[in-house]
Amino acid sequence: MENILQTIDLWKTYNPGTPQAMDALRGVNLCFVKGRYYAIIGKSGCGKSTLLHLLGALDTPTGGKILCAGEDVFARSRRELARFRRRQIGFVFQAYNLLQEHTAWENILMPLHLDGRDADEGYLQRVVQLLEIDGLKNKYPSQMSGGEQQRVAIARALAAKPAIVLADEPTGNLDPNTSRQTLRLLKETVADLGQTLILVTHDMDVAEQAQEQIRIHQGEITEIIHREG
Amino acid sequence: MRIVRLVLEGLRGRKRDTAVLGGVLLLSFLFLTLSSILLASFSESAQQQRQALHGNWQMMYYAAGENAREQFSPMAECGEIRLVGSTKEQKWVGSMDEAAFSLGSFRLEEGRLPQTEDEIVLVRGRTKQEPMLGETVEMVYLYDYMRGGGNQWRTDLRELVLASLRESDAEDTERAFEWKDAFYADVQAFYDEENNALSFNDGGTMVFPPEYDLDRMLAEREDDLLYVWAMSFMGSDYYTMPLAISRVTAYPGGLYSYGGFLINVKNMSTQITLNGWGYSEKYRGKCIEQSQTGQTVLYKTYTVVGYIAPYADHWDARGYSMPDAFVSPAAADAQLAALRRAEQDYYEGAPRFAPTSILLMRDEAQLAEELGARVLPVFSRLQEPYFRMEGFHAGYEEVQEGFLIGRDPASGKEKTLQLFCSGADYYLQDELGDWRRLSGDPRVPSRWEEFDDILQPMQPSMLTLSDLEGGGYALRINQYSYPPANGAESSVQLLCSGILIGVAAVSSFQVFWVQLRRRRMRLTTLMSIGASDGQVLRMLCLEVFLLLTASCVLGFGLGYALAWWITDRVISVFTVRWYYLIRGVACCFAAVMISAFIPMLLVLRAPLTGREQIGRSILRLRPPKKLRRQSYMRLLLRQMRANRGRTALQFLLACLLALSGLLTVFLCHNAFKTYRRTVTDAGMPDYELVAPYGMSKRYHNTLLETAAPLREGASLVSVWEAPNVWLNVDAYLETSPILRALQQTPQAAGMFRALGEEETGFSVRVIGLEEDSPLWERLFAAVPEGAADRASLLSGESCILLVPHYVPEGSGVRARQADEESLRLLREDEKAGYLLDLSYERIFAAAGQEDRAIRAGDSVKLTAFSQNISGEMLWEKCVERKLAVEAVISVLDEPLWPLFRDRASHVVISGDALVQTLYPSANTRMTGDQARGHRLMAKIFYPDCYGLTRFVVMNDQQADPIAQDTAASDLAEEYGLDFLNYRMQKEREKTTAQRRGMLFLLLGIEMSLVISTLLFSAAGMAIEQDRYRYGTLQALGVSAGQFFGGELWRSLGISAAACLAANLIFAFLQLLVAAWGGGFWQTLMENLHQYPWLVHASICAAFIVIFSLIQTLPVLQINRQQPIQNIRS
Repeated sequence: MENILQTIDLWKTYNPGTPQAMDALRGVNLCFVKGRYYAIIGKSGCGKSTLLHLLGALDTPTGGKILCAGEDVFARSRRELARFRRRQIGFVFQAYNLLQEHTAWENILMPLHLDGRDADEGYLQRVVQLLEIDGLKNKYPSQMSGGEQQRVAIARALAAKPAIVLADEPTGNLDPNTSRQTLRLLKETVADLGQTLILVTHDMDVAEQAQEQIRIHQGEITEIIHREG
Repeated sequence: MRIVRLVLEGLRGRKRDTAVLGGVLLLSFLFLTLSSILLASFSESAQQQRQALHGNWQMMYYAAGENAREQFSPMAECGEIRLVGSTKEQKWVGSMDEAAFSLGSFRLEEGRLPQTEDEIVLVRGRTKQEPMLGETVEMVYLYDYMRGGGNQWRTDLRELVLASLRESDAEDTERAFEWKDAFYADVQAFYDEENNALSFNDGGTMVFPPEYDLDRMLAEREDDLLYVWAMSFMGSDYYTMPLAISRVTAYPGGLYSYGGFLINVKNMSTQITLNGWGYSEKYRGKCIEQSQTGQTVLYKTYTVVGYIAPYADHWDARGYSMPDAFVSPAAADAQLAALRRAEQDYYEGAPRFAPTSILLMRDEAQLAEELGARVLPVFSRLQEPYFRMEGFHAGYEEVQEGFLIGRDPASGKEKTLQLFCSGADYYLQDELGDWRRLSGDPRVPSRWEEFDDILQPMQPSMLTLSDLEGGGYALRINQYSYPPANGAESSVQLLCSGILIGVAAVSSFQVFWVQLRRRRMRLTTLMSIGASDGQVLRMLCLEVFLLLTASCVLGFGLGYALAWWITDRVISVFTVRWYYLIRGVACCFAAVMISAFIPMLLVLRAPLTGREQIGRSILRLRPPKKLRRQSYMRLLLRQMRANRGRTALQFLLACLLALSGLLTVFLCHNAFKTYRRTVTDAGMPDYELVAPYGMSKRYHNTLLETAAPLREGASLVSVWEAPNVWLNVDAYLETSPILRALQQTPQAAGMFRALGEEETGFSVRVIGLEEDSPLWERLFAAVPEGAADRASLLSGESCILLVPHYVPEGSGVRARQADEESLRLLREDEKAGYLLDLSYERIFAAAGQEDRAIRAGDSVKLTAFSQNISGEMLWEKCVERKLAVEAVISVLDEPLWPLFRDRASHVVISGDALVQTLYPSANTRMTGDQARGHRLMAKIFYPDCYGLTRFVVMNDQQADPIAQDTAASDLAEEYGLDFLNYRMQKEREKTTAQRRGMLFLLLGIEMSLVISTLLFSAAGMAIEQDRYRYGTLQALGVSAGQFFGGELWRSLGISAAACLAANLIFAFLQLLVAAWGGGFWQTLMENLHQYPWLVHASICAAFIVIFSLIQTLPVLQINRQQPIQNIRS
């Protein structure tokens, strides 16, 4: 099976060279296969979000590499990195991170427009229907509930048909029912589209639904549990 | 205290926010203090300069009587310059006290002030030769007396001579007063006892051997000395010399004679000169009775102990003669004592010499106008009653008729009686028609009793301050040192403070608003756990108050120190006007508190749930009907629309920044307006030397040779002028808008006159240029090629006419109120050109029209009037000339001094031969002394009969100005020319303009710095606020280049729009000022005349660059961060 992402001896230290230096990740080596559903689990402050951010090129590692399709991600120029984020990655933030002055539909189309691409109307319509946000197209984020915003954020992450979808505690701000629903929709959509989903959570119930569980503790991978299905 | 501690901890915890707000406030107070002190210091420096140049005194009373000082000293500090006397070279000598030295801002260039009776200090450049310190000079003082006739003279003279002769036991005493034929040559003999010689005023000295006594000497010269006696006279402590009486002399009527006989009774301390009308025996009786004047001559030798810098030219002493040398008060007392003794001995019954002073007054606690108002009533009380004589004209034979104006003794109202004059006989006609003979001139006070039953003198009326401004009174305000306050400086102060306070308030509001928005969650949390509105408000107010106080103290201190540093290096004057400064600081304090209060109130209204309130701007946004592809630029535009308040504030600050730059350029340019108008646009030279007559060419060339030292460092242009010439305008009155308009002005009476029956003349200036005058080229440049016959012009057969263009209004010429400064220095007839919208300058030509009444090819008639006094009659003669008009010029591209000095209309320019044709006497030569005497005589008896010769001198750039001043002054002294030194005025105007420009520049830079700081802070805060958003966009794949490019284009767009708005506001302000000032186009053209448009454009370009930098630099910082770092912030 094809590795879509691979980390090699990945390190991340905050405030390096100062007394407050802290290693968030210590020599993480992982492989992510295309089309699978991964959950990264660990306690608060263990480095799981940091790992996700590095995978999404939202931050730079202190040491090590991340390969995407065999290429070192951080060997690219900033411009290529931005293109990488636009085209290869779809990121779902815990706090939704929608642009307040744009409608739901504009937010969803944002990655395509920024990439100068026209929207695949059929595809997007399908995504929107899957996520049950069809009626929210012309609403502004401030006019939506948290769950609705998160679903719009998910739709945005999927709009550019990225190979990898990264979700940082996507249900962290949602109630249990909404969380379940959102997660289900996310899973189904991603599976339907054949994308790789890497999700960070501290919720065991959520993690157990993943095909691969990656446990992380104090910046180190402690266990990788594979599940078929 | 708990709340104070809470606040302080909060401020410490929010270091960055505290620093930003504190920084903004610090800058505001710093610039407020700096601008206030600099304004005050520059103003004070300018005032000190004025006082150093023009004197510290606020009021001057010229020719104040003996007791005047006592009257004024309770009201003000008084300094007295006693007028000791006038010398035969027409130089004045005075003495001054310490107060006068200080009030007059005299500057001792060399040596010291005189202390003893024999010491003198001279004013540099006012005497012909300037002896070295320690050398001696002799001053010959002439004291003239006017007295009535009668037999007293004869008795006095007879008794005088007889008494003296008796004392000397001379023989032939009785022959002393038999004079038969008065037409003798004027040979006066003076006996020099020391050398036993006779000196004669017709030249030559005869030294006799020691054994010759005076009688024998006189006998040797009997042929040409009729009656000469030598007497000894012990008259004064000054010096004594034997006395000689010369024979009777007479001068036939002529320009410089005063017709009659002259008896000199002279020794070295006193000379009595009697003048009378008498030409022969038959007038003998009359000649004594008509004696009108007496003169006492005092000789005194002084040692020169010092030199004072020239001062009189810089004083507001229009028309009054200031001392050219100073002696000690003791010397003045001794001089007066000697004079009194001479008077006592010789002038029994004659009026006494009345010593006068120049009183200088100042009250530091008051403005000059305030002191003037207090002094005026006292001055008015001291004025002498007077009569006026008017309307005198020649009557039958030698008789002259006129009117005597006085006061009716019964009603107190003004009354006019007819007056008749024949020689020295005066007759007054009362209401009944009876003639009453007077003993002499009715204006002499001793005669008033003769007719006080029918007419009494007029009491001087109570004067007002505006009367004083017109001049002509002995009391005046020193308008050079204390110009009338026009409110301009306080307006500038107010404007600067207002702008700084406004900017401080706006910026504080903006910064505080942003900070509170960010802290809203924390504040609502505070309120949700139980803090009351009042407690939160108190906390926030205390925050602002503490920051304000700290910033105020620091800002004030730094501003004070900076102002000290700047003034120390630039002007050496440091002045603080505490009232304005404290007022400004207090207003700024209050304005910031108020502006910070508004965000506080808004925060208190925030819901305690902490839920983000939906921005109204976002709610107003409508979803797009058609979804277009979103480029990053479109995202930015949408963001701007969603944050309208912030965008508007940014735009406003940008406009302010651009406008401050443009207004600085304009104000700096405007600071030179007066300098441009009075100096560069008028082509003001450095000096003008004016001969009070038309100089013959040969003498003119001799003068040019003598002027070689001056001409080495300057260019000199000669111009002949004929002032009293009238252009026949009958054919043009209907067709010339300018002439019609001038007829309506208050000055019309002096500008138009009847030339004969049904002929109207208009007063014109006639300018004559010599063949190689450089002014011809400038004139021909304004005339079409070949249009003017040069040969005809040079020969005075034809002329070029200068007629300004005018701004039309209706069917006439527009008039507007000219500024007081321009009007103050003009003659009445010159004012007309200023009150009407007339100009020769091209910038106004577009808004003006040409007066085409007179055209090239027309023939015009000029009439010149000259006067002559023969005996007691005044004769007027007129000369008419017809001239062809070669060209009419209404626009001159280069200033032609003296034509630009006033906007005179219809100036006739031709060859200098024309002036000599119009005034036959305008082709003469005079020595310096003759010219000085001629000036006085011409002014009284022969005005405008000799023309003028004007030498216009412009120094080269490299010339030493002091050396040029001296060379020009020496030339004027030698040739008896009027010397007008404009160089000092030009320097003064330039310095004033530079100072003012620098001040505006400094203020403009301050404003720009403050606003730039605010913009930078605002941009940084905006970026901070949106950092989360930037991080999200980075996560979505917006590249650094897209970020930077987008922000750059946005800032370029905003700056271009702000620049355009600022230019529109600038244009609007120009139109507003032009409309407000009156004379819309004139004011607009004047304000924008020679405006540096290139600098203006550069400022606009610089603004766009600076603004773009300010907006994009914070984005660079964001770009350097990783997306997650921006999101987490």
